[in-house]
Amino acid sequence: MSAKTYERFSLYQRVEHLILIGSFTTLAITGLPQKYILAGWAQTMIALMGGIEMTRQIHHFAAIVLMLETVYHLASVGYRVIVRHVRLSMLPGLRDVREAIDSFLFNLGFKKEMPQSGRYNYGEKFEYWAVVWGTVVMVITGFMMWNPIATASIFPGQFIPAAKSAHGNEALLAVLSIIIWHFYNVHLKHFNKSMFTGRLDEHEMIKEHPLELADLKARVASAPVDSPALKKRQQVYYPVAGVLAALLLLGVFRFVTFEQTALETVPLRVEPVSAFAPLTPTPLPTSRPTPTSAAIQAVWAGNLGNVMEAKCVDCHGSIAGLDLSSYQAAMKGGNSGPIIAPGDPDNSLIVVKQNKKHPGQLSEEELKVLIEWIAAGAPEE
Amino acid sequence: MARRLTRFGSFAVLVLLLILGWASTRVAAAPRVQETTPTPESIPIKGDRQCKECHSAPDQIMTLPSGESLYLTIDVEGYAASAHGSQGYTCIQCHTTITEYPHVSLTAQNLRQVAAEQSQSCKACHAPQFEKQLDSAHQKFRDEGNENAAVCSDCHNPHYTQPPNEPRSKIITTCARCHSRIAAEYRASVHGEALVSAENTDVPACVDCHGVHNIPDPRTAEFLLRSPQICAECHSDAERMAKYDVNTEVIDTYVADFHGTTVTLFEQQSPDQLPNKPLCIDCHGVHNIKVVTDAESTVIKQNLLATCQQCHPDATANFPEAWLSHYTPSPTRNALVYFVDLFYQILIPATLVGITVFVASDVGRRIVGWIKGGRK
Repeated sequence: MSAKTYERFSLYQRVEHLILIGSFTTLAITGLPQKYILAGWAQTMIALMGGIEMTRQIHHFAAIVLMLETVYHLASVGYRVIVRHVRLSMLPGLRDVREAIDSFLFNLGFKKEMPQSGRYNYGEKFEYWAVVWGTVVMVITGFMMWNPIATASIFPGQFIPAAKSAHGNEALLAVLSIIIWHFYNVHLKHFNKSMFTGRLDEHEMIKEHPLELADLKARVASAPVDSPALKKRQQVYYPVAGVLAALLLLGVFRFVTFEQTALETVPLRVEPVSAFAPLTPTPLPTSRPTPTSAAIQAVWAGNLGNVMEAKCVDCHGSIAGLDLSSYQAAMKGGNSGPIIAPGDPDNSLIVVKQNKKHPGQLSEEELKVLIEWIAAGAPEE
Repeated sequence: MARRLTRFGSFAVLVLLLILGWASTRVAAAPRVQETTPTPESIPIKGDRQCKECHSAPDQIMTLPSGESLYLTIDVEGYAASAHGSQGYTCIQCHTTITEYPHVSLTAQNLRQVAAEQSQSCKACHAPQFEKQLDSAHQKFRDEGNENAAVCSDCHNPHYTQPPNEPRSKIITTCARCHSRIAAEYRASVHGEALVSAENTDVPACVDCHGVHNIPDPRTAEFLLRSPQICAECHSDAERMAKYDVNTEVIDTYVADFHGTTVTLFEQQSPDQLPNKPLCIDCHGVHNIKVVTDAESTVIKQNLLATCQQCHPDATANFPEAWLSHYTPSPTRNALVYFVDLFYQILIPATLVGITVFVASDVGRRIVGWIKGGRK
């Protein structure tokens, strides 16, 4: 077995691939939980990543990395194709369809020979163009979600939820395709290390890229480099590509900074009316002053007697030797002697006491009638 | 022997001195006891009849140090018919500081302090409710020195108390004592109108959203983040909503959307963070919620852009369409979203099945080859 190896990927391409692994994985890890936000696993992942706002920021950061990588990729492909006149070995064609069908038939045993591949076989081309398609879809729909106001100023508003749907679905498709197609073909079937080492050995070349090996051996794989012409092409390409790349970078910058209103505004949660606005008058647990009840007559029976019953008798059933529960007892007086001096209210103890503060205070109206009654000789009826 | 006698003698002297000393303090204390003997005018309070003698009279008014009038007249019949009076509770069971006449002077300086001090006595019988209200926003504001915040007696008049929620519309009147402007907004809302004018029990009264005794501050992150769930309690109840032909998908579609998703995750993962995305109330209003077909509704089509512009000032005419109006996409409503979904519902399985079949064919060939090779 020959130890001769052939370069498959340049260092730049390998670094690009590493950046793609990093950004794609980050986007998937931060994005899929957002698609399945209500699932327990999704919420656990979001919590681990520092909450939904942080998850979104990481997602946006990884998206910026992917977009910058895309700009670099366009520039480097342009350089290889336009300046170095490298063959368009990634362009798909009918050949690839035939190759895919033949491979499938070979797998099923309907064909004796495995179809022979060039530098990129049908599966590699499928994957490359799937990534291109996916990136285009994700960038466009991502822009719409990142800049919904700008989007809605041109397109119907419904484009934004439609973009959200496409973004999530496309992501799911991409992740599952990578797991099934990419992992099988370059990790499981045969661990192809060329993306990391950059090289394939002769045996691998014979097996996987026999047509490319043949071209290499025949020295027709790459067009001969004509040094002065190359220089001339470089002189044209660098400024043009530089301007285009600058425009694209400006595009990425606008993408990211175009509008922040959807992300940073805090709702104006202002209570339209003040919370504390008591009714006037504010109801109280006790009654407000009311107009006095029906006038009392200046007689004992049924009038002043009732007032005494209500206001005095609780104490002056006995206290201070005084009993106000009946006319006779009231006229008799207590320990201090008679309290009612008929015809002389000013010298009646009951009036003297009531004119000061006394438990069982009579109202002004009641006191007025009491005085009137004594002045009239304190009649029982 | 003599020494022993001397010892006994000194002990006896000590005891005698102690006795004399004790007796002298007794003698000195005696006049003080007499000083606190009730004067003939100071009467112990034993029952309601004594209270009523003064407090049933009209115009019993006391002026507080603040200059406010404290009305002391009780409607005796009203009290007898109340929840307390009808069960025979007496005045001094609540007015525990009133033990004799003349009464101890009040420490409260104004009406609010009278209410706050007196409400402490509710705890004796209503401990669970009392404990709950200690956690309320009202208590929080009182602790911060706001005397206007409600105490027990502001909502439950202790003298004439009747069930505070019968009829249900009475709840509004109760809260309106202090929150009259909010109550006015509520009464004009779709909920308030139904409750106040028709005693409709399907609509929320104040307490259904705010709670009763442990009423939280509705401006906290915790309350705001939970608020969509409060709305959802009724608005995802199919039976209740069917009566009014109201969409029950509102909460699910809200949570599935960017705004609701964020709020839901905040609630679960960072409950102290104020929501920075709209809640139900930010678009629909709080107390002033109108039915979505009302010309004054904040979410009726002609007003929706203005509502979006509260947060998105640059939003233009197409922007509100970005919100799917709480409807799941269908061919007739939000068709674009529906067809994008449909496209991927076909594309994803088709692609995955295709590549899986291809991979399986390759795996199959290798297994067959390996078995054949092994046999050879």
